[in-house]
Amino acid sequence: MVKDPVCGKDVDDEKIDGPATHATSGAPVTDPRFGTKRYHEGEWYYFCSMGCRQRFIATPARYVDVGEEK
Amino acid sequence: MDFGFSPDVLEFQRRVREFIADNMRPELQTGISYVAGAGEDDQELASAQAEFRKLLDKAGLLRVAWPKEFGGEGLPPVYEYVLRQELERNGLEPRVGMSLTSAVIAKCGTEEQKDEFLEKLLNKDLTMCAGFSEPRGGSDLAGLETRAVRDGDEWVLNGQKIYTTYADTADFMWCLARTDKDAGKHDGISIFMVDMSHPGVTVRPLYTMGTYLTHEVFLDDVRVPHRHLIGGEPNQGWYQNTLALDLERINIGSYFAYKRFFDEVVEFAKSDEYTSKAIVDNSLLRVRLGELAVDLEILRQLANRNAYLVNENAVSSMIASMAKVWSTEFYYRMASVVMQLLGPFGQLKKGSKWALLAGEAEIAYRNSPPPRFGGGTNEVQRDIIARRGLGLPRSR
Repeated sequence: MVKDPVCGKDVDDEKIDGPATHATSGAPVTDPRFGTKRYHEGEWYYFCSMGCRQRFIATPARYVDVGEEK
Repeated sequence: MDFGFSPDVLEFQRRVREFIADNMRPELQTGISYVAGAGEDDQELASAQAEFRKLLDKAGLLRVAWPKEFGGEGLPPVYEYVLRQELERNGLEPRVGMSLTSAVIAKCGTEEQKDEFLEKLLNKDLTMCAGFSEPRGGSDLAGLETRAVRDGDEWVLNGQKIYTTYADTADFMWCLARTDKDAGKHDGISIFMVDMSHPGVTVRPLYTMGTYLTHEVFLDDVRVPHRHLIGGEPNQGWYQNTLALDLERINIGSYFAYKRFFDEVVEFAKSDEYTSKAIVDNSLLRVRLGELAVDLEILRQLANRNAYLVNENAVSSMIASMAKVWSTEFYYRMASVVMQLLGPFGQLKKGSKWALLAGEAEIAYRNSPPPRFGGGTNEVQRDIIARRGLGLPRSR
């Protein structure tokens, strides 16, 4: 588990990354209900929702030192 | 003054029409425009369309704008425009022939890339998704942040894409990535063919109100062989993509797809079935359909004008943007009007025995909003019209 750097909720990074099904190509397809993530300055950050991620994208400097990152 | 096609193009149009009349199998006749989403979940229809495409190729009608060295005729893009129109007019899949991907590979790809991809792309033995938009700003394509770093004979990609339709079924992604972070905004971009089966590619579905399923795609240390860098040289992506946009632009409009639906609505409005249901007052019906007829004719003129300029190698960003705005907003208006005319019947889905017009009203109503922001939002298109067409300055 990691913390959403915007709202501070615990989010399950393994579930965000983990496959619920697979695409025709074999690529893992995740279950979108668990949240989403964002690649920023060489690190992946995990979010409970696209809303939190959107706030992070707007002002990342406000959140990068606060949240727990993977 | 002549607004028509040349005799050669008209002859080609006649051949296409004849071919469609001779080969229109019952499985292809869904009663719903492909543009409206008729084929999204229908395997039988998809295989009938694949068979139809093969026959079209066999008859020498598919590769008209394709380069001669790849079995094409090298004819001007207006031929492909006519082919697409005729397919739309009959509710068939219009996305045949050259795509943005194949156009770039044909113009800028290495010989190895042409051999590896072109024929497969034309036959749809290989399917693509487009890795353009990113969460920070889909409308600011040149501001993309996905990074690609060279590591020997490979490139390592990290980043993410959003609104990637077909990511769940595609074999490859046409992926724009930044290969030089210190170069100017447009100068450090390259295009990669990313194999969707490579480790590190993850797909996250984004459900929409329509039948379109789109996705986010995460790229986490995805290793792409150097031979899949389009053109073999980095930092050429922006210009390679722009070259092919001319051909892509000719397909803006979908006039015949919308006209087919409009004609069906008009015929239905004249029928006894409509009269017996008396869904809306006749005078309102006449006003609404009269307005749409005007709008549809404007779309025809704009789409043809755009196609003419592309064909003459005199592309106008302003006209192309006007055609995109008008086309997508016309479709949205038409779907709303048809829903109003059909009343509760309009909400019945394809497959319902009570559905009118084969359920197209319901599909069109849900599917008509997304095209207004797909392919460059209409706000961006209006900005292009204002800046490039009217000469207004950029925002400060």
